[in-house]
Amino acid sequence: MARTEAAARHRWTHYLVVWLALVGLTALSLLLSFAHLGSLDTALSLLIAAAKSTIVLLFFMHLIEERFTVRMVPVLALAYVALLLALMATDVLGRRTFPRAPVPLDEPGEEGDAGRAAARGADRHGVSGRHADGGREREGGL
Amino acid sequence: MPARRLADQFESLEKQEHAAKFGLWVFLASEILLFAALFGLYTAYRLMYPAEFARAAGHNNVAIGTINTLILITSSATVALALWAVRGGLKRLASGLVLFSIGCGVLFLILKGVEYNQHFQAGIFPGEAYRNAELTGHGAELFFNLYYLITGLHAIHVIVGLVVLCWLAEGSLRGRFGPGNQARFELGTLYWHLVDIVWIFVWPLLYLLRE
Amino acid sequence: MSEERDYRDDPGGTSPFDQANLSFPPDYLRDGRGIRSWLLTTDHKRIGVMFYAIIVLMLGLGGIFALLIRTELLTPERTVMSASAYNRFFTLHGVVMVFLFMIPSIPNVFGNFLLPIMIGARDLAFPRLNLASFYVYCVGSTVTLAAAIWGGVDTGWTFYVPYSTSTESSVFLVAVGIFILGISSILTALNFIVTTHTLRAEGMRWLDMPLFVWAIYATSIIMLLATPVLGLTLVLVALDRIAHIGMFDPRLGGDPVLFQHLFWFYSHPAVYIMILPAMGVISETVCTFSKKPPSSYWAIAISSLGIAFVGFFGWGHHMFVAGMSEIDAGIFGALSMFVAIFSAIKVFTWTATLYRGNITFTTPMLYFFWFLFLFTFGGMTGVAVATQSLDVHWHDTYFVVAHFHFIMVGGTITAFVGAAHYWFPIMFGRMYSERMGLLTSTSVFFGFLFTFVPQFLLGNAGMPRRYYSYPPRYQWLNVVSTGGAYLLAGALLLTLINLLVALKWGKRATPNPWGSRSFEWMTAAIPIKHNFETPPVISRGPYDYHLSEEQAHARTKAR
Repeated sequence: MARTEAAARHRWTHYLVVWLALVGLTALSLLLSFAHLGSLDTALSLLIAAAKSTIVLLFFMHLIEERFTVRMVPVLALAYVALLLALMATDVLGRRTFPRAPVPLDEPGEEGDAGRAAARGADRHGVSGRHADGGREREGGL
Repeated sequence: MPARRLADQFESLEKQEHAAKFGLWVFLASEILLFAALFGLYTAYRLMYPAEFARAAGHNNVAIGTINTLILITSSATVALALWAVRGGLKRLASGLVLFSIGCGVLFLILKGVEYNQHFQAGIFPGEAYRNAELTGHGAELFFNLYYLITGLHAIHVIVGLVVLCWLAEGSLRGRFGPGNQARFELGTLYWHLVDIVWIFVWPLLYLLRE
Repeated sequence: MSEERDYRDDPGGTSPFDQANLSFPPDYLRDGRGIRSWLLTTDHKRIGVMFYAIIVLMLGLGGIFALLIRTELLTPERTVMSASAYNRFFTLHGVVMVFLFMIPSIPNVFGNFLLPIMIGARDLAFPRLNLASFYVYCVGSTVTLAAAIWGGVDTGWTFYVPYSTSTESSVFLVAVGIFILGISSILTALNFIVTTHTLRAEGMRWLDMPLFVWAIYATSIIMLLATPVLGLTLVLVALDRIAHIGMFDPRLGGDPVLFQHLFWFYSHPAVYIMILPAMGVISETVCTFSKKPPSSYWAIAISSLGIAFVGFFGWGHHMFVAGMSEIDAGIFGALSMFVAIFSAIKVFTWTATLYRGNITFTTPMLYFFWFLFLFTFGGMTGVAVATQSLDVHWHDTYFVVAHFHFIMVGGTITAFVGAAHYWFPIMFGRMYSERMGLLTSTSVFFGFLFTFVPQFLLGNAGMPRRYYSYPPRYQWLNVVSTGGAYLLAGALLLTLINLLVALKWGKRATPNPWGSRSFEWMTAAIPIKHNFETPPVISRGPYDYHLSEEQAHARTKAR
């Protein structure tokens, strides 16, 4: 059978190398997180996570040896996860409310002033993130 | 080694084993979508409360999180090696490797428990019970809700995975798996790798993206 | 024999597959007696029949709730129940119809029964998993219905937060019940997908499969990928209710719109779960009763996959007025249009299939015509409400209610009842009364029209949905709609009685009474337990009407 032959071809060191790669990428991810690269942080850490998962999928789960129909299964699943996350993110990112988070009506009165003041700054989407949290902290925690 | 039984509806054992493996991958796809809902919520709330999420993530124990990541990666490697051993007819090595992987899983859960305890000491409970005075604000609470939900769902999968690994250990000790008869063993290993993959994504989201 | 055998000429009971011939293996109904042989069966056909019984009950239950709703709406104010009772009834109607009837209906009944036979397999890939799916469905239904006794639910079947997390009613039980039902769905989907990939008979490539198999396969992909998201979302609602982990609670900074994102990520593809199998039934009936292959097999097969994949893209069109960002709403509106392309391809292909066909107006064929007419209107109004600027007026009015009932009742239930008649001979070995069938079918159609056409008018005139009371000027349309509902219910009841009578007293069926070429008809009149004595070898397509029946039979046998 093709699969067993392929697996028989691997020596155990094959798995050791894969493990080392995963550990290496983990270390890299950890080190980069200490570097605090700002907005690059998210992209890099997720990229490394994707690389690690791909390695596990291809080499530990032997997807690299499987036929096309088997390979399409995780690809499709992940594609739909990406779709869900992308369009939920687009919703939040595209909101012209300020802050982006919903503000319940039953919070104390100063809320209204903060809301109206904030609304004047509503066009400044780009900085709304920082402002939103700053605004909320001014209102005080729960 | 007991003979593999060909079920009525399959024309050959090879077909049957391929169907079982394909079926497991299809099942894994549904598991991926199960976690997707939580990742979707994480994405949305992170975009709503970026600073609070980063601050709350900073409160998580990076050391434990990273050690847990390495534990799962290692257990993934040993499980893959166990399959290699089964294929090579190395029964004792295979069982040893699976038992080691089980040990890794148990250690993972213990460390998780330690971490949860640390959070409880700080008053960080899920939902309404949240009592931490330092990390206030909706974003922090939502972060920790998601933290408990994601790691909780993952821990459930770890436990199920451990049960599967126990079954693999027992099977390889009894000689139920061997060269040419490792299809079912492989199914168990695939599930454990999924547990590892989910955590690979969980780790940066909950531990690394901190201020 | 070169002449076509007309099912109407058949004397019955004298076929070579006559069950009186004891050396012939018994059919699946008689192979193994006693309740345990049914409750512990792994035979996909018996499991399909068990599902059949329960699902018809669920249809009846959902229908009773519908009649109660419509009765209440006869007058602008209170007619027969209080407002809070009304809320519970429309919620239960939705929950029972969507989760207990529509989602499992055609796949778990006809998919289970026919999929293996159509691809020449002896059973599904995982027969015991199939039985497990049945029992999980039973548990899930019981838990969901228990909520009805425990005070009911009044949130609407959509369980929107924050009402669903704060209302007094039994949301927790229903959430758990639907979660369990979701597991059943996923198990069935898994089984169907693996079966289609691995158990096709020798000589049957993907493009040789009957179109019903393509439809069930595409449906299974949706079930597999979408259901887990709903499951988890309902778990979150349940957790909020018992542990106050308020992921969507605005008081804790949560966003109710995110619930809607997650809910509709499942529930929009869910509507394609409900319609795709129906489309599969329609493809089969139109070919059989026009004695023609589909005018483009490839178009229907690929558009089934197209609907499955693209159906995931448009969920936000349920949330146009919910508070999403405008850009997201725009994206969803645009993406929603793509699915309509695939549906339209099918409608045109089915219509073209009729051209130059040798059409017989049997009951299933009548249901085909009702489907074609009603689904087209339902689909077009779907495109209309997916248009953001129009939906602002129609959202949460009876226009939307009419739209989805045109598809679900005019589409899915029409196809379900059509399938019940079409495959009746092969499932039970009997023929139903064709005259009663034609009468009940026509009554169903007119009952439907009277029920739901007024609702388009009501919605367009501004009547909101889920409202207990309404301004008096809406009353006459409501009265017409209720009258239609009773007619529809009566017609469906008569249909059921017709089929039940046929079960006991119907004329015995011969093999392939419709003269179809599709593979499931190449078996004995009622299939034996393992479907075939010897595994078939296929050397023809499923709609080769240019071959005589004898030739068709010959090309599905091993040489």
